[in-house]
Amino acid sequence: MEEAKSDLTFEEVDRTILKTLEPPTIAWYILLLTTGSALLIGAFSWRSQIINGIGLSGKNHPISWAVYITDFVFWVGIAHSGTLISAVLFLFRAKWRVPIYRLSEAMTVFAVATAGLFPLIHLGRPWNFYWLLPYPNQRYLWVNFRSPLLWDVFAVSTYLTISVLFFIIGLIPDIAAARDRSTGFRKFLYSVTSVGWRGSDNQWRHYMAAYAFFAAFATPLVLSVHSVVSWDFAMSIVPGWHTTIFPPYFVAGAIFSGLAMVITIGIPTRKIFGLEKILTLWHFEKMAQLIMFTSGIVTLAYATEFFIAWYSQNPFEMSQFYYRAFGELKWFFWGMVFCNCVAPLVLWIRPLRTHLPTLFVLSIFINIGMWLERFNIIVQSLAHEYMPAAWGTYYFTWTELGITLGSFGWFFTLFCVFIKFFPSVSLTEVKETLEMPRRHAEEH
Amino acid sequence: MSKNHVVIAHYKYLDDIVAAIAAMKARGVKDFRTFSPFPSHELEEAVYADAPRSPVRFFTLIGALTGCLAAVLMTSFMSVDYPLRVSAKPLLSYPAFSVIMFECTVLFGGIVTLLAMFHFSRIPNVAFWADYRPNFSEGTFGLTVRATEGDAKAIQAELEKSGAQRVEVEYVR
Repeated sequence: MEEAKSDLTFEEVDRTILKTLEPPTIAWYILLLTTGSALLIGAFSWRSQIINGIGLSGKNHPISWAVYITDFVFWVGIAHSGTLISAVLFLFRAKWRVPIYRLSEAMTVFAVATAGLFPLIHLGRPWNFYWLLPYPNQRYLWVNFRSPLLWDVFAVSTYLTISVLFFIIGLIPDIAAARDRSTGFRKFLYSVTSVGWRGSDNQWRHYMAAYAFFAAFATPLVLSVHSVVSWDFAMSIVPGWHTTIFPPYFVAGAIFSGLAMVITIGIPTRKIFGLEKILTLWHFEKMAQLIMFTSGIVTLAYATEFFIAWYSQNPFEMSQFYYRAFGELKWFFWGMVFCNCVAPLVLWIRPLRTHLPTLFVLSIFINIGMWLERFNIIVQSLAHEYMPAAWGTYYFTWTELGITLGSFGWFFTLFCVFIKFFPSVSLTEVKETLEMPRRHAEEH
Repeated sequence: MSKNHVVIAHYKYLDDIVAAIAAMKARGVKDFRTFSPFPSHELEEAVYADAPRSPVRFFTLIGALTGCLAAVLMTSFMSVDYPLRVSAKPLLSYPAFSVIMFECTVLFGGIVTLLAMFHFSRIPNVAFWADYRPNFSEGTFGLTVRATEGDAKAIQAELEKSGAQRVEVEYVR
């Protein structure tokens, strides 16, 4: 599919995008009530876990990392394609990123904010979370910089900070445009949050220099954050974890799941707010193509894990991968294979790549599949380590399922609020993609 | 005489405002600025043809180097001050510390870039700008010139001829 030539005018772009900021409809309140209820379930579950102890989660010997770390890796993964779309594709000058980059950046910020909660939830005593940080203390001890867990603290906090700054810097000119077209409380809100942006030549000059550097900084972060997350596992000697393919495998998986989440959010947003002229089928097809590519990479990674387990003839590796496919948790494995390797094959049929209901359903399958992938890596590996006497299996509890549901509530609630207060598509960059008005061109 | 007037020209076409900037420069006018709803290389070229590039990049470099150095010092000092002797691994394990150094490089570089951008763009600044008009953030390009009362009339006439849709003159203190 070729990119359709846009006949939008600057005024239409403003009108269409700023329409998303109009007073909410009843549908928005219903959505907020749903996501807010999920959030409350999560909050009560966590409260109950804090009061009664970590025993309320299903973690037990030998599986001491379980659903919370699965959720953590899942949400960090969701965050990834936001930065890919906003920074990497910016540097590559990919035009199709323009209408979706704000949505995906918001998704990044909210997903990292969600992911960041899980190491704290996973801690038995979350009030001691600051022990993770190197700070002067009366016991004269410092953190262990050789531990990948500490690398992760630095990687995720840096990623959150840079994502938030990149998000804010992109929003400033758009908030200024919203300020110039609003009245009352919103005028005040946007005047403060646009920090006095006027779009003068001097401002744009420094803005563009800074934006390019932010994109350049965020690009290696896309690769580094999930690589560091993968080292949490790969640096250990647990069969199923101790492998060098983890960083690229995790990064590809993260982009795969993140793009699926952009589609899950993008399709309803486009429909509800009438953004059809801005967010076209061409943009969805581009995302679908990237999903096909990353689905291929994760499929290859799954196959490589099995192949290397056999090729190495290492009994522990072979036993681990036999267990994954045929052990008591095998349905989690086959569910993952179906969602991540088989279901995306429908995208090879061109008309289905631009069929939005198909894409929407597929994106949900991929999200489920990627959660299952992290669950398989974490829980199945720990359930079946070296000594048969120490093998075990996993039993879910309502508390951890409630907290997982709550994390979706937290993520989508933040999203619902954002979408009503700030432009969810970049006015500035959409205008940049339109034909520049020139007298010379008009006269000929 | 003090430049207590501002001439504000509204342009629909990019080539018109670029030509008007050249005309102002030819006239020897230096005290002007442009507004646009999005960044434009053509406009930047017209205004800053002879100017050095944005100094933000030097601050990015300084921030990044500071972050890297801070991480080297922090990891080295803390590893020696509280030695964790594990399996004869060296206390100063720089390959392992390189992750922290990379993260601090990006973190400090990013924060300093933002601060430098804010500083050079003169934001935050919520004060009233006499020469700004709300349509400059929609689809209109603006060219504003500070001038004395005598010059303002001549500049207004010239900008009207350059294809501006509207030219206004405002008294400012």
